[in-house]
Amino acid sequence: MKNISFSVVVATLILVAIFVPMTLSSYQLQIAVMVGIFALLALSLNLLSGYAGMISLGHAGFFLIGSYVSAILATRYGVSFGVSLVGAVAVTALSGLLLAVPAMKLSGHFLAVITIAFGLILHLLAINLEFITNGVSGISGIARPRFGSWVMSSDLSYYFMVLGFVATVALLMAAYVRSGYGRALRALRDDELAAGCMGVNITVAKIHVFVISAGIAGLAGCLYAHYVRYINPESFTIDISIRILIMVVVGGIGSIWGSIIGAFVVYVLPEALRILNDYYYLVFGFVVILLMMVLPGGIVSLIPGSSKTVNNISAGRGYRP
Amino acid sequence: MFLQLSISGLAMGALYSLVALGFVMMWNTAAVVNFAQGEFAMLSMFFALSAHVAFGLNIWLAIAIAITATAFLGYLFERGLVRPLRDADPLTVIMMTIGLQIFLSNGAKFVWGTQPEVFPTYIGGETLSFLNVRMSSQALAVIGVVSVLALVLHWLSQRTALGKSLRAVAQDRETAALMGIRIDRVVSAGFAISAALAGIAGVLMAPLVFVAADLGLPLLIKSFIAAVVGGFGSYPGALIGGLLIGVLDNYVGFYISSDYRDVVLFTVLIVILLFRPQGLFPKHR
Repeated sequence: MKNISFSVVVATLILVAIFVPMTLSSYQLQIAVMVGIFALLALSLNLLSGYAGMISLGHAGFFLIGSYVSAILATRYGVSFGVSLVGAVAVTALSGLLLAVPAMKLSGHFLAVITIAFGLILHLLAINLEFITNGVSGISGIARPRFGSWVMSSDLSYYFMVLGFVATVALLMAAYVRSGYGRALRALRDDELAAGCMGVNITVAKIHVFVISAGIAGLAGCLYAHYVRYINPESFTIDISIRILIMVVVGGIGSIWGSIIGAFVVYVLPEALRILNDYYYLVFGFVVILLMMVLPGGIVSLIPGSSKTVNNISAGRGYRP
Repeated sequence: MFLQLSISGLAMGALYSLVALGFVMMWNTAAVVNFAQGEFAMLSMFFALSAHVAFGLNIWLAIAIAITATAFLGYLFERGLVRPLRDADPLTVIMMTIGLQIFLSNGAKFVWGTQPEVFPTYIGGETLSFLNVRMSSQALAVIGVVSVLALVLHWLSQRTALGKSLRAVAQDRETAALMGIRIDRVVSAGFAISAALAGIAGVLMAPLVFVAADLGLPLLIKSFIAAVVGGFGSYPGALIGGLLIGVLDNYVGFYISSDYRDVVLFTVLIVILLFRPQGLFPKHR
């Protein structure tokens, strides 16, 4: 019974994601595209925090690398969208190694601070390395994707492309976390020492998860750059890193659907509250506090049968310094 | 120049230390990583400013009111938000404090506006000159006050019943309860002291900066890094970590590059943690 009602909820969400955007205004459609991009970021962080138990407060750093790599490839070298996408994902995935190395030695607060520093350093480098990033004025004129003679100029077609990427990543991630690799990650989260004793290669598992997580964030960065067509360092501050973490936890940590729902709620809520003018972030902060007090398992725990399906009982427990 | 940089760096660092001390105290007493700690300092500045400017109170009275109000906020924070989440997942608690951080900084923006305001200097405005080194008296006062506070805190934790209970709770909550320590009261007191430390840091810092609602998060980040580099959970570590960051920040800004100041600073910190994964002065029990 429980699994049936969960499937019903999921099927409804999928139908809504496909059909509702066709009726949206252009402003609402923009928000829908951004929700998709942030869903990718939340999935990427969820893999790291929910399944492997490593908190990152610098995820905007990977987002930044992906965006800048594809912006530079597209504007300076005039490459096609496909090349820019592959380049952004590859470079960002490699940059995941930058955090994988300290993560081998550090955990808990020590790792959290390293990730904060990582995000801040990248933000500052984007401001100061003007010959690469054009500094605070940012990079403009990034072309929309072009396939043959067809340019993807409408927001609706872009939305469906992003939706396709979100679905693909979510499905691949679901397969990954169910596989032996995913079980190794969860063992690592619950007890690193015991996991090592049971034959989990901790070094390899950490490298895997950082590279994959960074790669997904790089994909989100590439989609973002080609969508907004103008990027500057202010889109990649620590506030964004915190926002991504809020999405993961508010949605339900350790749950793939949780990240997608979290991205939707956390991105749409401030937009919906805009009518309150000056109050809206105030209310947003209040809602986050309230959600944590009454719904610590995240919004996904409201859906019956979800905890069984996503196996998130001990998610997030790795943050035990 | 070197001495001058050292002194202003020490002053800034001492403020990071104070915030970090409160941060560590909350961690030790209730395993809470409080992202709103910087907001307590920011609110304290605004409390003092309002009491002094809007209500025309004497500046010292205004400062005393601000620190008391911040301590009370810390107490409310423990009673209202932390205690109900005692058995919750650590990440849930962190997220709650992040929500509080957003709430308080935007609440301050709403009440006091977004324009940065000037806080009157209350410790003799003139700069002192000694052996050709020019120092602002506020910076010297900060260093002095923080040194005295550190000694007072040490005395408090080693000699008084409250300090001993706080240490007992930090070591082992259940055993402390079995020994007859009233955990709830001790934790509340710990939170009030932590918030008061942030409040003191706020009023000490106010004349050195422009008072604005978005000061909290950057202050918290520097203090968090200070606490971690010092060895998370250790009070001397938090103190020295803060001073280290303040001084290093100034040297890098002056001798290396002001554009890359934070880049170099954070890289140095990462390197320190890579070679000393437990921090410089790890807590030992």
